[in-house]
Amino acid sequence: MNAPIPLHATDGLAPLLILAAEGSTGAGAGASALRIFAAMVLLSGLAILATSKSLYRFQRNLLLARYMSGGWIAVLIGFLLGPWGANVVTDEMLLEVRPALMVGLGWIGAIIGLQARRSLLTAVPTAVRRWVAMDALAMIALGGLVSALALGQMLTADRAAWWVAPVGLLITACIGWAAETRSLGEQRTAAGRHLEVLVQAGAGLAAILAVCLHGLLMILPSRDASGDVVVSIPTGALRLLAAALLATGVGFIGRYLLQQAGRERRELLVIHIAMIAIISGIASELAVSPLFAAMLCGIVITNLGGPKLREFERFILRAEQPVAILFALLAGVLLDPRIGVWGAALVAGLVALRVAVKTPLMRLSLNRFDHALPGRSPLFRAPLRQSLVALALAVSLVLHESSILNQRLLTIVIVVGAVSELLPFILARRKGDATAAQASAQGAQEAGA
Amino acid sequence: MKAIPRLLAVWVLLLVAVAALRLLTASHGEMEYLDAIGRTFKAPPYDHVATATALAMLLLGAWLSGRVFKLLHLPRITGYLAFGILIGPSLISVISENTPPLLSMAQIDHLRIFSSLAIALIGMTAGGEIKIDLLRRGLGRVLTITLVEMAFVFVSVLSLLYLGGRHVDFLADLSSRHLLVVSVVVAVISMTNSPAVLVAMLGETRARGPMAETALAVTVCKDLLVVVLFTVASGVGYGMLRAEGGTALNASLFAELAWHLLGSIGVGAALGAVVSTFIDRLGRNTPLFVLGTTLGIVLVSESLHLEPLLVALTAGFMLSNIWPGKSESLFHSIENLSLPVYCVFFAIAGAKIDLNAVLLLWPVALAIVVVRVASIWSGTTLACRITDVPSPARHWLWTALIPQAGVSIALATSVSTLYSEFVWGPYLTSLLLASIALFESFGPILLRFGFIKAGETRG
Repeated sequence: MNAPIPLHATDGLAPLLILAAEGSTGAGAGASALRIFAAMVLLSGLAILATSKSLYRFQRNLLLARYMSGGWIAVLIGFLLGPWGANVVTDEMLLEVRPALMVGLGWIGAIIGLQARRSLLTAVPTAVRRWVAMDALAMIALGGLVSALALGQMLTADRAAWWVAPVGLLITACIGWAAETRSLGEQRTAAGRHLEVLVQAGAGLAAILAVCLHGLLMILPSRDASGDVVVSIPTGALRLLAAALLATGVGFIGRYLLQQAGRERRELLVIHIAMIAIISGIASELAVSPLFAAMLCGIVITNLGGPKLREFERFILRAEQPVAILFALLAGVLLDPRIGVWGAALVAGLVALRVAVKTPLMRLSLNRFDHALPGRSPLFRAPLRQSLVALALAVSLVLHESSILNQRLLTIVIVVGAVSELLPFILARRKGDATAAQASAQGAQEAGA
Repeated sequence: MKAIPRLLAVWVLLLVAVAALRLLTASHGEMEYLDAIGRTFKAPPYDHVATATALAMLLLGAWLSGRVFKLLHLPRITGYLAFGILIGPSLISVISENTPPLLSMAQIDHLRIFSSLAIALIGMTAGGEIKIDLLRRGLGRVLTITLVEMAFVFVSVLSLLYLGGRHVDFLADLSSRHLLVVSVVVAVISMTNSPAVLVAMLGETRARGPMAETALAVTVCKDLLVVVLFTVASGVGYGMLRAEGGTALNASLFAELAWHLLGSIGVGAALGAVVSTFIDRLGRNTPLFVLGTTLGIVLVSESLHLEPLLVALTAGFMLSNIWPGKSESLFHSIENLSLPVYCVFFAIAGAKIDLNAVLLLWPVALAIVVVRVASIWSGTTLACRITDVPSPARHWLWTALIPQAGVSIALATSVSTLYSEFVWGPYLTSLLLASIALFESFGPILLRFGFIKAGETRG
């Protein structure tokens, strides 16, 4: 008697009769198993490669080091694993882990917010603040113009409400620059090191501004009952108020709970994860960007102070690199390469905008502040490179609404970011700045290490 | 004790906040929208969007409950389970049918990845705790205790249901053959006990000693044997009922069984070897590597139809016994990661408890509980005497074999699908879930008491 036995797999322990019934389901299960095995083998291989000494040798004289430390290799791997590559990571899988990804977004938001400690902000020179403000204004005006011109050819919706999210993303992705400076060249002089600090401080400030602006722009549009996009200022204000209350409440309650947990690492871990999860979860239910809400919470926590909250800060920052790599992988999986001619034009426009505006603005702002700064430093090319926060902003938009348009916008942000990484190296070589190029490679090796 | 009111205030605030959120945000199913280039896309249903909040609520709520229970000298696990029961769909459905629960079944389903990860993590921990020396010294003892205890439970529960089944409503009109099948299935599932509860309690109480070692080894042995027994019993039973005399057992089923067990051990051993090549290069990335490894175990086990607990257990056993020095940091990371995992895992287990089934079938469930406890106590005590387990562990080992949770629930759920064509199928599952719910509730308390009495706790 070999009657088919109608069972389904259960978690934990899979009863054997289920396997007898489902074990021979054929190609579907087999193909899925092979895909997962392929992914495992690939990831294991990459892990071996990442830990091998030969890779460091390989990185010594190559731009690849910067691409690796900037997460771009992870984006490429994500793309290869995603629907446009081996299709190992499917939409269903992503839906399954969406709650965890929301928590990851909150994590990035908290990392950004924790930089906004009052003592640190007041230490930032006025010139840097002015530089960041000018950069933001220029990007809002010019980036908005370039985006609007290109999107005018891409979008079919003509009401302004539909334009808020796409234009908002492209503008906020333009704001700021990558904080990493070592790959641009080792700064041997005191003035060079000073400039390095100014670049990093500006990048941190600009990241906070970009997430703030993006969060505010994301709060405004929402879907009505018919599915139409509408902009409502009162609803937006209410959401903003809710996000601010939530961030403050989680900050205060978190501080109390951390005191209760004492020194036990396992207990602290629970509260740390729960704090990030609760702010990300409630924010996404209220249609507020988890990135924005968690950044507000990070600002509250860093300004409340206290040894326990400092420990929370350290915990959040310790996971910075893995979370960044995870989101770079995710960005690669989610992108849709079909951006078309106007998408390519938009990429070209945004890259050209960076070349035309970023370095002159930096010179204008900082040279007036301190004439002793090294005028020919490769660090003046640092703002050409897109901030990694832009990637998180684009991913958050896709996780908010997984539409094809948002996936293509993510692609545009990724391509702009990848191309902008090349700019300092290309400009350094074009100007015959051999020393800078050499220093770049050396710095890149250190950054990779 | 002074902290209890404040902890409870935060706990209430958390529940009120989540309840208010549920009222404020409109629940909806999967929606289809247009984007600004005129292409349609699907927005996930509300339950999915709310899963991150549910995860946070489980973590924080279970942790707070565990703290309060600890201050009341009760096991933390019971606190996690109690919190799960409180927010789960079952309790609210008993009180009011139309009120939505704080944690819906759909959200529980979305969070199953965390349960799977927990099982892999628990398997690694259990494997790491079993030392090859213990098996060399006491394999005979472990096997004797396992077999004697299982035989006692099987015979007692089988006799109870087969002889007393006529007094139970949904079993009263069954033929002898049907009643025998039902009795055998319940008896086999009664033989299981929970590796998860045992491992979590070992972590909580930091118990070390003959009782802890033997309990873990016996539980692992039972897990393997129950897989085989449940397969054979279900196969024979199903065949008896369908063909009135035949069985559903054949060569392919035994091949699957062999693959399931030996394949799991083989894959686990290979995984242990692969992990051992990386662990000394990981540094501060070890926790991330642990998460990746457990995720890998879940994915590979699911796709190859292996037993994730067994795969993880073998990997943990290999690492701990073959590369003890190298794997120390790995097990340290696993221990650090265990608390959030246990909070979510046991709170979900609590939320899955079917209180309607308990209310409906509590007299029969209680009878099964009493008989199972009595038979575990007598079987284990006898086996401990035969094998000369040192005192006081021999008097309290039985308490470690009482708790039931994930494995038992999985088997009970599969019974309803396997016997779905029979009227008594769903009732049988409800009966099993009712008795498991009772064991889930008092099992951890009894186990903690046992460890304390055996003098093996350090926490």
